[in-house]
Amino acid sequence: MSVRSEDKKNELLIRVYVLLLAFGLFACLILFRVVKISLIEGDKWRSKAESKVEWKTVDSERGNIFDAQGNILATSLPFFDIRMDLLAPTDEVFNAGVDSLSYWLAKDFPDVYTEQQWRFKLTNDRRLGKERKKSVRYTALVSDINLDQLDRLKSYPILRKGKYRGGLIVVRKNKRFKPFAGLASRTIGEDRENADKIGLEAAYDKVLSGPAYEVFMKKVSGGVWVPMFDPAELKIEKGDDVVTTLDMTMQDLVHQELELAVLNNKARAGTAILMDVESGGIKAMANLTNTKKGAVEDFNYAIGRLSEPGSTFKIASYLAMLDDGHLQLNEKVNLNGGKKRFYDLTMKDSHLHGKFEVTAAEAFKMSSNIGAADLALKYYGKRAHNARFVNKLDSFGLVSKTNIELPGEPNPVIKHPDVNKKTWYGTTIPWMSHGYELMLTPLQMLNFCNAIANGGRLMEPYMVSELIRNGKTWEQFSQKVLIDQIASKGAIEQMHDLLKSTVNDGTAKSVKSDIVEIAGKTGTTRVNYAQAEEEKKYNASFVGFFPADSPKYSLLVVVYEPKDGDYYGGKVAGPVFKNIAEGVTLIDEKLMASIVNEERQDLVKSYHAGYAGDYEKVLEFIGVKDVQTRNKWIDIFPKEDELKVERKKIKVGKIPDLKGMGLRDAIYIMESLGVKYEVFGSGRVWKQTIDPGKEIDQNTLIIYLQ
Amino acid sequence: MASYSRNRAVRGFDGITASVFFSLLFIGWMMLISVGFSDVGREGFTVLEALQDSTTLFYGLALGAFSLGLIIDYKFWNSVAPIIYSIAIVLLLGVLIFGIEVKGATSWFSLGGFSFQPSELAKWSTLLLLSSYLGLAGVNIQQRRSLFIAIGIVVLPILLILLQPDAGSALVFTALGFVFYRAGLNPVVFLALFSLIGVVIGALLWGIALTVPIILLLSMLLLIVQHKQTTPFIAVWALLLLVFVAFGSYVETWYITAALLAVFLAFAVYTAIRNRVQPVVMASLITLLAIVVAFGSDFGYNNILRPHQQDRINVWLHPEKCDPQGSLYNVIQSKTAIGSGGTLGKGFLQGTMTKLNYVPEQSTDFIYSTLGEEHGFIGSLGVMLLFLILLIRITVLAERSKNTFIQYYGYGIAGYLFFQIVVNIGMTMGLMPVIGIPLPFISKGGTALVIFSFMIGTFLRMDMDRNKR
Repeated sequence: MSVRSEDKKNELLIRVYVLLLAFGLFACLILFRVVKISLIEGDKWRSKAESKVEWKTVDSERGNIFDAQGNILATSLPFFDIRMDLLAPTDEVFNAGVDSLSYWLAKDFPDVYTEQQWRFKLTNDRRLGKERKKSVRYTALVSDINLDQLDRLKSYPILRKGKYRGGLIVVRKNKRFKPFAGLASRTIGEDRENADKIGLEAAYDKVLSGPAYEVFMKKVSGGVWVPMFDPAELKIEKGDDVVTTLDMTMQDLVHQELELAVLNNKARAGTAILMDVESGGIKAMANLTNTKKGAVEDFNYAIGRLSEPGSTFKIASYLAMLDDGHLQLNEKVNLNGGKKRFYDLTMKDSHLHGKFEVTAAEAFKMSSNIGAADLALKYYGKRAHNARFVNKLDSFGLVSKTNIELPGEPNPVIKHPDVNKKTWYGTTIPWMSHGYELMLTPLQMLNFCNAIANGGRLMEPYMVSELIRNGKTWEQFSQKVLIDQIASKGAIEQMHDLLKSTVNDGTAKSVKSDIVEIAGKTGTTRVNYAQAEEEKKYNASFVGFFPADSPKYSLLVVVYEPKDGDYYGGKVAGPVFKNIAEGVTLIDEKLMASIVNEERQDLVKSYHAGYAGDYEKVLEFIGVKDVQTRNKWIDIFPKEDELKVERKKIKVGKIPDLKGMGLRDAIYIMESLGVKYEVFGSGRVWKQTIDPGKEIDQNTLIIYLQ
Repeated sequence: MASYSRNRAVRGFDGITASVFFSLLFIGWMMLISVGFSDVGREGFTVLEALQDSTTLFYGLALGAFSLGLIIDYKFWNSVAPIIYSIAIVLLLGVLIFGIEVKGATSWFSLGGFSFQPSELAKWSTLLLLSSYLGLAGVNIQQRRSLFIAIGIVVLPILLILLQPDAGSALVFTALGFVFYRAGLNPVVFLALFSLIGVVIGALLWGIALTVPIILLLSMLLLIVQHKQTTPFIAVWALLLLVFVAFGSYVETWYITAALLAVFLAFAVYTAIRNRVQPVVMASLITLLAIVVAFGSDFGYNNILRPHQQDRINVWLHPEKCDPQGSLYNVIQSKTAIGSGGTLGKGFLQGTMTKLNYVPEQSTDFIYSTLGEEHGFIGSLGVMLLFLILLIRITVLAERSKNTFIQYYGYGIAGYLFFQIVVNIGMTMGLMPVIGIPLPFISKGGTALVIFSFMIGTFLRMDMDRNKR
């Protein structure tokens, strides 16, 4: 081998080594870089990556709350924020569509931008986005639009190409909405973000909110997270629906009546609860506080407010004595003229009636405090017998909560001689017997009376009857009996008689109704008896049930601190009870059918009255020709084989005869005559509370339609 | 004797290269499935879906091309090299007329749903003809004529590709410098070229005011080596360097440049008088050239390059000047993807950055960041080692051949691979300017995949035949 070829070989070898060295050098360089990025600076880059995309927990769409008729009480309406990824559409698509997109945006959302402004914004943001100058790539278009608007928006040029080619980004939000606004709003409750939930929304929060699920989201400008995929394409999880026992027609009635009472009596507040006797289901529950803005639902008095029940509690003390077999209703009791001293305290009846010897039944009817106290003292007054009275109340279920599913129910406050030895006085039994020195919530009081109406069976009051998942019932709540028989049948029957007679000829005469027989008890509670120097304050209440003979509904009305003169339960709460009872009877078709006699039904079916002009064509058509259309208002009723048409006399200043008229005509007449009126039911008028021909005064004319 | 020859053939087959090649092919396939599979929220991803994907078809074609390369004797390729080269040139001309435009470059033929990139074919055919030509007896790269013809073979396709324009693909042809290097081109040429590149980078990185003094200082070393006694000159030079470093930032830079230029000229005259004139003239010319290049690149950057091209250079050399939401975005997103993978990565199909298109061009230019995100440091390191093994192995196989054609051919393949790997991976980590050059075997791009597989196949066949004459 020559030296020259040896040299050449060496040189080649060096070349190869140099090359391999270069490979190694570059490999090291890259290796160093990878180590630096993924190991040394790993945390920095990881946090950068994670802040951009995440699985975010998203709440399911909240379930609806329904009333028993299927009316929606609370629902979540979807709202959408629309953003646009301006770099998603191609130049061709964007340039072709930007003009018409701007046009439609300006047309459908005129309060956002004008067409020119839209065009400028879109093109400018897109240009900036392209240059990655600013993070304006995901431009916010419009916010808080509804489903209809979204559908429209999805048909716009460019956007109609969808998420990937049109850049449409839809962010879904939900807003809670109560179609009945203020009605039972406290009972339905609130689903709030920044405060505790209340009412049914709180009680059934877990059921309503449903499963939380995760959606892959990415962060865009302004710290907003948008879903990676079109939410419309995703299956949206939904919470379960809650069906309540509430009846919104009745709720409406209860609310209106209570509102009138609270406002007219300038009361501090009021509550009314309507319950289904047999099941214990709450049909309506109104809680109104008198504020500057009017009567509003802002606290659930029915469930959450403890107060001394006053005279309505005599139902409990009398039932105790009757059930223990002590009391005979014809037993004599001395009322001492309406004023009597018990130990160191003087007890007064509502007024100095001057009566002395009366029967126990009469004492109940006239709601004599002294009567109840005297009798209670007689049977439970001895120290050894004290506990028997309280234990009896316990057996009525009055010492325990009702366990309604709504949050916020306190325990009743009822003393026990063995437990509250220091505060148990000689006067405790006489005062407890007429509803003082103890506290109950309105619902607890009503539930006890409901048991009496129910023949002695104490039900657990409830408000939610079933849960619905995906349109199908998946859980039904059965009615729960708390105490099978709170007192003997006999004692219950005697109590029924007492309550009926209280309405028929006792303190509750004002509650007596032509439409439905009511049984109940008034209550007038002095609130601030401890503060003698203050102006006297009272709570007026009425508790009872109807129809008296076969009770279907029980009802309690409490008006807190009325200030417009009247404060007696019979005068303030009683009329509310009566109006609600009558209204509910009319609303409840089955109940109505059982009450309305056949004669009335015939009348309703055949009797027509109204504006003659309306009937003219009908009458002509069926061959009645001699209609005197000069008469504005007519009666039409079938007589044997012919139709009789008579003129109806409407006189200024006199209550009109509205029988047989449709609501429109009746209202027209009442409005033009200046009559104060209220309307119940639908169909034609079959009853009016003030007879025709009487002078029109400030009294409210109530008409019932059927 | 058939069994004998078969055994021999199997014995000659290089298993290492083939295994590495198959591994890379498989990794590439998985990566493309991962990138293509971008609906992260979706469940029920199936192998069937992956197989239906059109990119998978190209992996089948790639295996076919590899096998084809293995079957055909290298002598055939050697003999048809001019024909294939001509076809490639014709196609490159044709694509300018009949091609379709993708991202502003007319570099694709579209045939019935499939597209084909003739520049990839040109890559192979140019290497084939170059190796074939340089392997001819009587061709010597030291001779000017041979050198010019060899350069011509390379420059012709480069020019045609620049017309498309596809600077990235054109740049890949510079990797054929490996062949020239192996063929014995004077190392001084490479030194000069790298120096010039250094000057350009220096001018862009530090600016003229700093680059020119550095050039002058380095050029003085060229004069110093002309003297027999270098020590005193080196001492003076070191003093100058010290003064420059110490006071450079306090004095107007042009004064320093002028002062250094004066020293250089004085020293040049002195050296010319004391020694021979010719080397001094050469050194002066080199210095002048370097200064001109420095000024030229500065001028070119400011006046010829368009803003987006300036941006690319800034992303590479001056990332601090760039808008993170703007031109720097790609590189930051890519680094974020790699960095967020950590040691072991987020797992196959789990990379969120790449899945959600935060990393642009993730299936082509930035595929390495998907790898880094999903398979972490271990994954990126693994792929890099596979590439390193492949490069070394190809070099070794080329060297063990007695046939110069095979040697040049192997060096060419190694050159292409090396260039593309370094530029692509470097790019994803901000080490290299962002030029659209795909990662071999892994980036999406059917034509490149098939051609590279074919090249490996043919080369392995050549290696099997290395002892044949």
